[in-house]
Amino acid sequence: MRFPAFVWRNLWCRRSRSLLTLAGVAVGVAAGVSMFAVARGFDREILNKYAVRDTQMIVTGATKKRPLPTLVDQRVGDELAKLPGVLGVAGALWDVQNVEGSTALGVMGWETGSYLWKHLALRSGEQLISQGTEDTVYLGQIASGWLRKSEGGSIVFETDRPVASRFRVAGVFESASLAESAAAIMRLEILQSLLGCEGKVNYFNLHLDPQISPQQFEALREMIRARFPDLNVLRADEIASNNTGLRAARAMSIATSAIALLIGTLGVTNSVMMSVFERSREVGLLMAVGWKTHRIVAMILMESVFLCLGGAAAGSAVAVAGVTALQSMESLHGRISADFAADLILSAFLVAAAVGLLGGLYPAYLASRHQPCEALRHE
Amino acid sequence: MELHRTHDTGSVAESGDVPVVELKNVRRTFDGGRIEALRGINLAIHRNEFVAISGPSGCGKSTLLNLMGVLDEPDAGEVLFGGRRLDGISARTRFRSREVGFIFQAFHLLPTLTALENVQIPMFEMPWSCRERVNRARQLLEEVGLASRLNHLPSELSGGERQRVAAARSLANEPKLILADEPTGNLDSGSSTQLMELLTTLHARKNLTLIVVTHDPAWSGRAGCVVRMRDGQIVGDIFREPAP
Repeated sequence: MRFPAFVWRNLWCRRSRSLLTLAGVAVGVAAGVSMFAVARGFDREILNKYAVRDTQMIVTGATKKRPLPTLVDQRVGDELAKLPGVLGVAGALWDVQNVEGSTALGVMGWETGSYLWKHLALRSGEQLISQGTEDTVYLGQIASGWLRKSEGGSIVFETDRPVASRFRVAGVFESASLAESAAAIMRLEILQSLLGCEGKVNYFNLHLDPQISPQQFEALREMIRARFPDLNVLRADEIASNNTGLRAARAMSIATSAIALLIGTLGVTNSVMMSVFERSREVGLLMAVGWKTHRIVAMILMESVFLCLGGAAAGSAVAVAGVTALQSMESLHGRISADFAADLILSAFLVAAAVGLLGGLYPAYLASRHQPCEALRHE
Repeated sequence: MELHRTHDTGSVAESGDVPVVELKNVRRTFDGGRIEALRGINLAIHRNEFVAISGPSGCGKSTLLNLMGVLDEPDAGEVLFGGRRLDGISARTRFRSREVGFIFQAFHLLPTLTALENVQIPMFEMPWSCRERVNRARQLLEEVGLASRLNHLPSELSGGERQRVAAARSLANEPKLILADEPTGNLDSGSSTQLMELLTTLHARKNLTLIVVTHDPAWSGRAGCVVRMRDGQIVGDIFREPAP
């Protein structure tokens, strides 16, 4: 018999308590892992959105002082296009509209003929980049599913503006970006008209020369800042890190995990301590047969860590299954992006092991303080 | 007859051998000094002796055994092992691991482990591989007549079989001193006799020093020396010629 097998046997013979403790740890791990996975999924989605658009730089009116997107004159794009290293500029307008009475839908307005349209793959309907003036809209596949609309149909945006709010669905497209697949895209001037902000955009997508170095990128950024001090110039990853909603989600994940960690540690301590009290005589015997103190401490700590690692495995599985189930629900399909990367699961196991060590420390200390002859008399 | 020990006088054996265990004016109290379990014990036990310690309940027999097995410490006096004091946790733990084996009245087998696994428990402190531990445990269980019960849990064994597992466990790390605290106290007469025969045989075959605390007068007939105790003191001892 090997030492870990002996430790495992100790847990197995108290199955009910071990499973309850493991379940407690699993709930904490599941909560932490799923929240982190969703927060990271949104991070990844933002990066992905700009990556598939081949956009390396974003110029926006939103700053740290004004976190909400601010409208910017569309003509600024013409100035940006003249700067060195800039191969393309696409002004864009973004908003959330109520559609068909109840569904909140992201709506994007893109400049006619801009490079943004190129990455969309038309699944059905008319050719993308419509040149006409007709009020048409393209739906992403997910949005099409939500609204149960396809080409030839029509959708109505709820708006107070005295303009036509009924749009013909010109086609359904597919995008590698979840945000785009779950949105409606129309020509910029139509959305400007719908929102009453003619000649304005929220931000500019900049497609840069692939050869541009980080130093040249920074120089370009400084150039834009000098010329347009009210605008903010960001890389795609900076968008994710500056996003207020994502920062809140990350803070929530950390807070949830911290609380789960504390509860888990207390639960494990309680469970292992009870086990040590019940096994006083056994600990006394182990001392009587010559077990060193450090082996008894190792036994208790290993029991505690085994429990927590079991909890981490179960919790991670529950988190993956739970989030996948949520994603597959019709009402949430396309609204949740989760990133269960290996490093997240590994972190969960490492944190669980740390909780096990922390939770087992005091019981192990108590066990090591037993006097063999007193422990052997213990009933 | 060679005199092996004296009690109360503190004198050392005439044989010149260093005693395996020697207690000098040992006192042990409990409950803040209210209960005097041992009151100035002097005792020397030599290599290969078979000593039975008898006396009424509460006379201090088990306390004396605990001190000889380094499970407890005296309030006053000295306990010497091979002429040396065991100072420090490390030395005491090492002694319990390698020099002494215990057999308890209540067996103290771990209920979730099989007989084979129970015997391996003390071996974790030895530099032996898993295979060596298993082989040795199997061999010891065969020696005590339990070759067919290796993979049985304690709950599946009779009282006598459990105590034989405990005897095998006491021999796990090849100690030279075996301390048995009322080893037949929980056994029927048949099992008691079998266990006595087993321990007597092991004592002779392995050149062990065997110390048995007991109420059972049957042990007295087998031991080379019987130490009688009353009220925390040694009140007499009976010596016999060592078996040829």
